[in-house]
Amino acid sequence: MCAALHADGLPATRLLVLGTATVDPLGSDVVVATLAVRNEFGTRLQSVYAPVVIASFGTGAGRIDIRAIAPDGTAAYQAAVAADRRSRISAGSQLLRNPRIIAAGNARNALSAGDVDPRLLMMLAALADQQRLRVTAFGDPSPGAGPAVPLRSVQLAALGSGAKAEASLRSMLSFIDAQQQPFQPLRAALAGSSALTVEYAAPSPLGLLGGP
Amino acid sequence: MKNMRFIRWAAFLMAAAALLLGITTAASAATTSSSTGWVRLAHLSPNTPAVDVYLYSFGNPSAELVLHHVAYGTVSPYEALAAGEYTVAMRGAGAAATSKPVLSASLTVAPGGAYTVAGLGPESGLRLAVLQDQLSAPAGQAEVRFIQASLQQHQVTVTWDGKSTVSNLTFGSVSSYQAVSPATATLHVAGASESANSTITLTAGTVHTIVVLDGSKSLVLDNLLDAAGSAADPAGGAATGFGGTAPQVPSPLPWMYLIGAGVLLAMVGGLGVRLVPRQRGRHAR
Repeated sequence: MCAALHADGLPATRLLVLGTATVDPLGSDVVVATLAVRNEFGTRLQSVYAPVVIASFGTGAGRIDIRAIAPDGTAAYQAAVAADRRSRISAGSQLLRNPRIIAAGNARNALSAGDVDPRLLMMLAALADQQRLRVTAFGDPSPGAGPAVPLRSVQLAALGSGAKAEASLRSMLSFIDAQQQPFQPLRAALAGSSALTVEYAAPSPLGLLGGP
Repeated sequence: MKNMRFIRWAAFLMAAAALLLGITTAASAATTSSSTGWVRLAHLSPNTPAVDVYLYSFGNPSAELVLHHVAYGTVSPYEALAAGEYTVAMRGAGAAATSKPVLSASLTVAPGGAYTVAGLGPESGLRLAVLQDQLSAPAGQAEVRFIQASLQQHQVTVTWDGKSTVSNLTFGSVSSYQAVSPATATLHVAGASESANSTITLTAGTVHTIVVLDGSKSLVLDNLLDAAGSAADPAGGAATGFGGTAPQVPSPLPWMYLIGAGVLLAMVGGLGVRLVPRQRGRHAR
């Protein structure tokens, strides 16, 4: 699996091979749970090390789950997930009151339910300070993600039309491109001249909102 | 007729005064309302150039706070800010107008809460830490905490009134608050090769943050008053050290006074303009 990921462009320095001598998968951000890994760690993979599936591919023995590691144990991780959702609900509700943000129906629902990645929420607050914007939709390109996994992508549209709208979108794209980790998106691009899509990498970080 | 004019004058001036008073009261209420909190910003990263800091409100764009050219050692006075969530961003001071602020942290302002948003660590690992500030001390005690912002001395030990208070506080870290007996005494901070002494008065009920900074020749201590008592709102930044010479953050309050005074002047002026022709007319008769 690591060879396949490396061949697909993931730097070797970011890969940790799980062998039969490996005591646990801790020390990573995510674990790629192939059949061999599931057999090696058994139920402890879900109950102790990595309780949340952030993406899943295939079926049966060929199924590969991508799980977020819980570095401080499942209980602490689940508590952090619950706290993060509460913070996202509060932050999303505040964004819905922002007069510079217009959100489509489903996007409103996602914001009020706390389903949106905290990096997107923080980005939207900053973008709305520069110009009025319309949130067309939130999405999650990860197949098989569990219900606790936030939506990591957004489609934005500028208010107005023509060259002015496109200039507004380009200004937003320029702002997004200037960001550094953890706010640097995986992808951000104009979709034609009327929309902008932004997608953050998984897993969504916990604890970004609600500080201190 | 003369009495009527006097009554109109008096009524007009009273209305204008009430307007000014109303603005003043509103501003005052806004700064002490239960729906506001307090935020101050601190640049405590020695080798990081000056920055502009932006706070973007999630729900209310008019609640944005911008501080320009915040340099090392600068601690702004507290600013009243509407309760809610904020995105904190930074941008190099003097950067091209086209450069964009970089998102750094989030801040949840709770009603009545006080916070210090501090840039800590070296430039290569600069992080914005949101510190919850304490606004009250135990009865008969003072509270004090320490921020170690000296890159020259990686660890410092703090002695207050002859007693060791904090040991081996590392660069970029913040101690917890601790209660101390009120006194005017010597605060001694020692690193591996430099030290600093300062005579400081900690009175009962006050809460302080002491910042250890790199000075041009040796360590510098900045005594920040976080709170002066349970009934008092946060008072603002330092009166000593770098903080005291820092650029002041513009507060909306003076502008509201100015606007109010301007409105009052305009109204009185308008009244004067209306009265002058009448007076002239009277003289012309």
